[in-house]
Amino acid sequence: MRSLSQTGWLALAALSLTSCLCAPLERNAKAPDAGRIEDVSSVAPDPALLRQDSPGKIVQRLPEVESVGDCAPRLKYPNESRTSCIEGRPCRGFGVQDESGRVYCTCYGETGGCVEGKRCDVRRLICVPEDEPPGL
Amino acid sequence: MPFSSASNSAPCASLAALLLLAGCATSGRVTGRDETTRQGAQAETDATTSFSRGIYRVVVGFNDDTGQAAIEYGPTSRTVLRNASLMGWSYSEDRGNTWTYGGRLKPPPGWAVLWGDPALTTSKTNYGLVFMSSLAIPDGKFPASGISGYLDAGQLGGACIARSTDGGVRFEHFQCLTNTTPRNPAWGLPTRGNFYDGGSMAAGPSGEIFAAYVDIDRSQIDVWRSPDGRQPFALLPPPFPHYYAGSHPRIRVAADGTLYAMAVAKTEDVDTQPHALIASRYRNGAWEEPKTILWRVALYPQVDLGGTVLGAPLKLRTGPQFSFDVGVASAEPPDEDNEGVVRRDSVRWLVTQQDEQGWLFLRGGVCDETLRSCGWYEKWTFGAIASGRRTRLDVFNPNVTAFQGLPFGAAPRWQASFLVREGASTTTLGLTRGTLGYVNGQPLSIPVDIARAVPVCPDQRPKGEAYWGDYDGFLPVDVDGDSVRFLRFMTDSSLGCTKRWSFLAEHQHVQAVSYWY
Repeated sequence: MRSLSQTGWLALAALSLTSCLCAPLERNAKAPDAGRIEDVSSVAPDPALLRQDSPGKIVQRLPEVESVGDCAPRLKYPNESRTSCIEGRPCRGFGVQDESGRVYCTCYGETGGCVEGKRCDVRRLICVPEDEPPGL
Repeated sequence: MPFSSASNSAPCASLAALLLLAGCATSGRVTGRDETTRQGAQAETDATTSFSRGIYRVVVGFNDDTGQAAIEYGPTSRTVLRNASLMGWSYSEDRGNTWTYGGRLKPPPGWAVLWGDPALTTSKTNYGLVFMSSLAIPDGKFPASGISGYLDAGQLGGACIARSTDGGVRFEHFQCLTNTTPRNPAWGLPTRGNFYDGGSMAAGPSGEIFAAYVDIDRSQIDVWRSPDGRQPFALLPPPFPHYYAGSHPRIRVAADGTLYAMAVAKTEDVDTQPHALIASRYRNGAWEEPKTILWRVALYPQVDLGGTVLGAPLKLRTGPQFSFDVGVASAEPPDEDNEGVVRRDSVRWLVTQQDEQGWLFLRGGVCDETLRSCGWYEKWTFGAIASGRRTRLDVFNPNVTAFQGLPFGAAPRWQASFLVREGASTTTLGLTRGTLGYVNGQPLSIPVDIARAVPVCPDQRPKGEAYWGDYDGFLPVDVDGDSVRFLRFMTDSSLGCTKRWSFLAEHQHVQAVSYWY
């Protein structure tokens, strides 16, 4: 009997919890219904509350040039990294040619490529520590 | 309290405080219940629904490492042999309550290995046609001795799409996709197949099927289209041709057939988050000018739980850190002529950012359907930056799903879900949901925990790259009157964390957390 009554109490508590948590605060309303969250607002959302970050600048892709020579840095994870030999100099990144015809090393917009001890990561598009492994 | 109601009484509040808001959700194991899947690991999901021969199904694909001879593990090693496959799936015929393991596909001819990253969708003109995608290694990039250790661009070289004609019970290979364009097309020589990562699929109202991947070699998003799910997929022009694009992409199709793609692009910011969330849409056979949605977004951040399990630290890698959907818009303001003001909120999104302490939080916002105007709401922000918490709180792996509504039935819904890591040191994660909604036109979202203290058991890949499943599916699966049932999948290690090797952890299975709303 004791376990039965405990079970009954627990069931009642669970029912109460369900009714108070699942129903009131967050229900969709088809019609205007002040005080409830609407998935689709029946009142036009206030545009003044919409925020926009100060804009940055997206790196523009430039035509890539081929690596020439054998001066490209040799890395532990070559397939996850971009390395090349550009204008006879080792490049932890890849070579691009800009509108003026200048050829230089870059790691997805980081001019000069990555510094010693870092590698140009093909998935993150940034310089990461040279010993950071791929994840797959 | 602007959203109180009569039933929200003091006793209820006490109960709520005691039982911590988890009572509305139920969790069920998708894999790991049967002897077959219990013997291996399954994690990382995408899901869809189908209807075939009178049976409604929920179909979930996952990285399926259920025991196989073609993948050999040691405490610090992994060797992947020919015919290895991670392309597995399960299906439910009772709307997510119980699940049947569908099996695992073998690689098709010409392809050596199927390496996961599931993406699924269902045809909108034939609900029995279900498509499932997996990354793949072509024969031409696979060494005869197999692959020891990590897999990367040296091996991965495309993706294979399988198709089911019976609503997800059986799948057969449909087509493998590969792009052999070199980084500079002027170089001429084709590659052996560029490294595809991620995977996202979507279906259009006229039967079109789309699949998208990030081409890591070219830093581009590739989107493929089959006009009807029967003819082969063909590569579309790139959505972001002038950017260095990264991250697993996500695609969605609006009710009018417009295709939307989002990804992450490299920015010139010199801080530690030089990435922006970008979007474009494909209409009338062409992509429109890309739009930047938000600056300084996280790209594959690592989540340090601070705790240890089996003597090793818990530091997780993550997958795509943004999500969006296209659905029913709110009422429009009367003055529609002001330039630069969002008039509609047909596109709603969440994206992960990092605060000054390095803690992860989510920003939520909207775009109009043209993507000309986008912005974020303070009240759709989740994490320490929103709550003012002083102890560590990371919020990540966001999902957004829109339920379009039914005529004379359930009204449209906009739901979000995400993972939560709380405290200075922990070995568990929580799963939280919220409505991306409004009260009297003021944006508001109340986070509700739907799974708490979920134990985490990743493998031991070093440098914060430990794997516990990178992303998961989230979708509506049932309707009852004006209530809609949602399923959010996540990794399940409730059978215990008994092994953490470099490339293998036990137990990892798939669970489905369900709630009505």
